[in-house]
Amino acid sequence: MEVSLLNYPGVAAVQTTATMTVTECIVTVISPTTSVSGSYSYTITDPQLEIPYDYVQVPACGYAMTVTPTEIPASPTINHDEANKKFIVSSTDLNHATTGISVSALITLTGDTYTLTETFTVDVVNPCMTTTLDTFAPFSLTVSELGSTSSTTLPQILDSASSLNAGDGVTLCGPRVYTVLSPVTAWPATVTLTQSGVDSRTFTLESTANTDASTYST
Amino acid sequence: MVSGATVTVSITPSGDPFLFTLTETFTLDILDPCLNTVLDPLPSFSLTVSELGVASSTTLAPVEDSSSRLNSGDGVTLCGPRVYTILSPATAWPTTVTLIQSGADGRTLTLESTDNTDAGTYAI
Repeated sequence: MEVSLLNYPGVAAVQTTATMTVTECIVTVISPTTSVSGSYSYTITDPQLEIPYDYVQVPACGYAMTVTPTEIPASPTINHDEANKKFIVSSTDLNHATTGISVSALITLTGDTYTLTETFTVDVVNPCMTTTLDTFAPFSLTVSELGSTSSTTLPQILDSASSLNAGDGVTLCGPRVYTVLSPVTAWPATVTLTQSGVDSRTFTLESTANTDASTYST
Repeated sequence: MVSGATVTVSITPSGDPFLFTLTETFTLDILDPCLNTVLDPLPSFSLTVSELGVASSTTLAPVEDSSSRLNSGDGVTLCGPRVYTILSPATAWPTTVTLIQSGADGRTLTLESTDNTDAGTYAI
């Protein structure tokens, strides 16, 4: 560095040595602008759950940042989309249902040793566990004493989760069980109500005695 | 500044019947003290900044000179503005390390680094 007099160029300038020091940029904190930490719940067959994240380094040293999931379990429901800075939870398989999946994300920098670990948990919920069956409409069968049998096949009883997620009201939550409850009063042994067909939804009424004429409920 | 000004003085006593007159001559150099003033030493200084960090600045104190200090008291005013010049560094700096002058006389220096590989010591 040199100093001289503007109006007197003949006056001897004075000089000194100045030292400019550039120190290595040291990150003091990795701060989340969108933290991944927390607890999340995902219902199977729902649209995918996105868990975004974003972090900044302070000071802004500009080091390349890597987010590495260190404890993603074997469950195929959770995937890491590093390019778009998010975790994605998605599944259509009820067998993936589980609670408390713990994922740790290790945030590291290329050029600095500072690291940050964040953890989140995900409950993957089976929607059939809380589904509601539609109303079961009453039905009747009529047959003559010693007459031919009378049959009816009941419609499938739909459930809310299957209606919402599989469209047909049945497929997601699977087979129904149609059970004839014990009658309020005992039937004659010669009046029989048998079940058959898919899910035992076909009911057949038969009478084999001339003294059976009456109305029976179940 | 005036150099070699000649002054002639005639001395004639009033009332002298012989009209005696003495003539004396002298020359006078009027000097500009700034022409041979001496600037005070320039103290060394340093600036430190982190890579990609916030810029660091310092404002140097005005360098006084002997004539201004003697004649105008503040050490600066008489001989006028100073020029602060950054000398070429002994070794080339990275282009991502910048030292900028600003303010009065260019006395404020601001150091900045914009690259993660700039760490080092540089001299000017």
